[in-house]
Amino acid sequence: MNRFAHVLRRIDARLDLPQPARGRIMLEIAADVEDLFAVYRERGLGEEEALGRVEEKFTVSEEAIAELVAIHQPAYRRFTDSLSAQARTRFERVLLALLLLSMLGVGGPLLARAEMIRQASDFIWPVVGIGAATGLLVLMKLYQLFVKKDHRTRRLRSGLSLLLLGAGGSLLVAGFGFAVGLHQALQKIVLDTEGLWLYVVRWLLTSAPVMLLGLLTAMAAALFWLMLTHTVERIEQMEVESLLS
Amino acid sequence: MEHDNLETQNLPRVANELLILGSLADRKMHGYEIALELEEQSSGLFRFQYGTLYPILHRLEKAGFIKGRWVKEGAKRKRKYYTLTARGREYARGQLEAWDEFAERFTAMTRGLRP
Repeated sequence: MNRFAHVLRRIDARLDLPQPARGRIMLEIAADVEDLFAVYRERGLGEEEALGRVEEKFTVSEEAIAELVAIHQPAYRRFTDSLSAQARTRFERVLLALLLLSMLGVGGPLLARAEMIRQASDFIWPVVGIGAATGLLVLMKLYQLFVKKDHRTRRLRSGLSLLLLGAGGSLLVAGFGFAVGLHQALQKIVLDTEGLWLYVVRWLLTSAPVMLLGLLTAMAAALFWLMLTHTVERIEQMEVESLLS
Repeated sequence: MEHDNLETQNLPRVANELLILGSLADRKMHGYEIALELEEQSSGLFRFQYGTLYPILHRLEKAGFIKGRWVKEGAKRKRKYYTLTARGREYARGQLEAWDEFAERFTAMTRGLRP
C-alpha cells in the first residue's frame, strides 16, 4: 500500500477534472511525494518525522485546487469529454456500430464495383487518402494499446484527435466535391437547358460514391475514436486507482 | 527598451514565476526539486507550499514558458521533468526588467521613510 495514499486521496477527491489531466496531475504529485520523502530520509530524518514533513508540505489549498482545475479545463476538452461521456453507454456504441454496418451493407457492394469508382469525381481520391490514413492510424493505436501494451502517459492519447480530424476531413472533402459537382452541373444546364436530366444524373453518378465513401469513413473513424477513447480512459483510471490503493 | 508592465497586484505571482523560471535556467528538474532548491538556496526565505507550486508550474507549461516531459524510470515509475524554453527565457527577461524598474522606483519613492 502506498504510504501516502491518504494524502493523494485527499487531493484526488477534490480535483474535479476529466482524464487524462487528473491522472497526470496525480501521477506527478505521487512521484514527487515519494521522492521528497526519500530526500528527507537520506538527510537523516526518522520515518515518522519525514512522513509528517511531507504531509505538511503537500497540503493543497482550495485555491490551488481551483487554479489547477481552471488551468486544465479548456473549452475544447469540455466539448470532447461531453461527447465521449455521451457515448460511454453501450447502447450508443452499439447503435453507431449498427448504423455503420447497415451503411456498409448498402454502400459497400456499390463502392466495390469498379464502374462506380471509375464514374466518381476526382474528389474520391483525397477521401480514399484520408480513409487510408485514418485506417492506418487506427491500426497503429490498436497495436500500441493491445499488442505492444505501451501505456506511457504522454503517448496514451496521441493520435486520438487525429481520428476526429480524419472523420471531419473526409466529410468536408466529400461535401465540397458534392457542391463543386452541383455547381458545374448548373453551369452546363444554364448553357444547355435541354440536357437538364443528363447533367443531373451525371452529377449524381459522380458525386454519390464520393459522398458515400466520405460518410463511411467519417462514421468508422468516429466509432474507433469512441472505442479507443473509452479504452484509454479505462487505462488511465486503472493507473490512478493502483496509485491510491 | 520596452518592457512588460509589472502590475503591483500580481507581484507575488510574478515573483513566484520568476523564481521557478530562474531555478530551471540551467538544468531540468522535477517539481519537488524546484521547491526544495528554492527553499535551501534562499535559506528558507522562499518557502513553497507544494500545493501552490503545481498550479504555477502547469500555468507556465501551458503558456509555453517551460516544457514538462514524462520519463519512464524503472518498470512502472513515471516522472515529470521541467525545462525552460526559449520563450520562457524571453518572458523572464522582460519581467526581470520590469521588476528592476519597479524596485528602483519603489526605493526612490520610499526614500523619505528610511532612517
